[in-house]
Amino acid sequence: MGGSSMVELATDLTVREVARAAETVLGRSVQVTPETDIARDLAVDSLALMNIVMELEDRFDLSIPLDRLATVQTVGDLSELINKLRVKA
Amino acid sequence: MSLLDKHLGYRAPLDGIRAAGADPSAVRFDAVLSPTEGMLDGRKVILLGTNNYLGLTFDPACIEASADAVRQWGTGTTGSRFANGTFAGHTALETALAKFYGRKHAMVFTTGYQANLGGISGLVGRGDHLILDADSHASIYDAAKLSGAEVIRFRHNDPEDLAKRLRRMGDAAKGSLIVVEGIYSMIGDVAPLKEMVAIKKEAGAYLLVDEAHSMGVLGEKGRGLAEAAGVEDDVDFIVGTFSKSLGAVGGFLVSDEDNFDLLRIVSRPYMFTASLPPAVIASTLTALKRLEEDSSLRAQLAANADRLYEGLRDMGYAVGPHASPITAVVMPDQATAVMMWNALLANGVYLNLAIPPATPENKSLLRSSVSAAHTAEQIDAVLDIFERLGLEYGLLQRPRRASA
Ligand SMILES: Cc1ncc(COP(=O)(O)O)c(C=O)c1O
Repeated sequence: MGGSSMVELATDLTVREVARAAETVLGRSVQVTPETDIARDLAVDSLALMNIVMELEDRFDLSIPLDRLATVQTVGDLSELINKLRVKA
Repeated sequence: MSLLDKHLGYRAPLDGIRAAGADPSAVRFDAVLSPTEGMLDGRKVILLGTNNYLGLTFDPACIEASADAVRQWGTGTTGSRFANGTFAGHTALETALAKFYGRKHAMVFTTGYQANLGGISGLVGRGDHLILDADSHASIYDAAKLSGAEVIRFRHNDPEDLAKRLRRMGDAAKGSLIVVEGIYSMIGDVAPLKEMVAIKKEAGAYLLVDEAHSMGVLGEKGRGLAEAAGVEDDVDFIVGTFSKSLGAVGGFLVSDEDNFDLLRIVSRPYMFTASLPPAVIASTLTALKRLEEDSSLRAQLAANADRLYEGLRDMGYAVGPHASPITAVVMPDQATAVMMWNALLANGVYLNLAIPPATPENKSLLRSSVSAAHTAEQIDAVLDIFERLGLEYGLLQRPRRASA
């Protein structure tokens, strides 16, 4: 199914951008998959997460309101949120 | 398994700090002697982190007014203004604040924290947009959560970044609320308000300035950064606190907005908490009068701020971008910060240990704030101790005076 693999590809690219944004903010390299738990696996606190989001806003030229992070736990959640906001934008 | 287990990540860092012999959360004063001196374990220490900018906590007129009020009105209001009524002092203070800022309306809250919580959450809600400086105080972040508004952060004190993010928001930028602080509480840096005002006007947004650390400190009349930057007409809302330059506790919101009175029945942090006790209102009212009438306090504060800032900078310490009553000395790492904080305390200087995550850029800071009440001798004593310890711990290269 071409449609679903396109979605997967887009998700893949977004996940990679999340990883790069995290590396910029944290100043260390990170290994992530969509299942990576941002707080637990990456030791990212709420402030660092907000800084990662700011970085992602610039990378995607997109507004990501902080209140939308309430449901974000994994890198996959964050990527999905970004992809959703990109469609809207 | 306990409900507190989720906080266990903080156990090791806290124990580490305690093991180094310091626990800033457990400093216990036997007595406070003046705005600038306290007794710790039978020893006198210089207070250098109290935000007591004008030194009014022991002002005789403030103390008198407070004592009179407690005798006349009792120790507390025992409830909210809505439930238990407004006392004469509440209205007098609101009138005085509105007049001081040249605004139509003022509203007093029980703390500065609640002034942000109640002010901001009363102004924006679900569907509205709130634009925050990334280094905003916790009370502003908590207000954002309580409000339910869509929150966008911009890079600290960066007008271009603010403009970029507003542009990105498109139509939503119009009518959004931008929040900045006059003086930022950790480093003592000041918002580039003129530039931000220009951006806010272009976007059609509202601007709220939290003057917690700048009221009584900046501006010819002490009204804060908006006055100092000459942009008061373009600042829509001002929040402030009574807990710093006014030497008590409480907070306020002032504005010219129509329908301001509605905030009193929609702002939960205003409605559902007891109002300030008469003694606090009375000392605050008197302190505000002192602030307005005695500009020498501000001049003395500025001179003291320069003396401490320049002294530390010239010694070779890494300090903020400009002199301000708040001076933060950047330590190379947290362990050194804890060690220095302990050594300063052992030598009779009490200031704030500021460590991540409460600090910008995860820096470890020794945060100081001077008061108009500090004497030049006290500041010089602090500088001598900083120099001696800096050399001892290898933080400074050379004796300052030898090379001067
Ligand atoms: C910028 C800022 N806003 C608000 C507050 C809250 O004020 P208060 O301590 O009076 O509740 C503080 C200080 O704690 C502050 O630094």
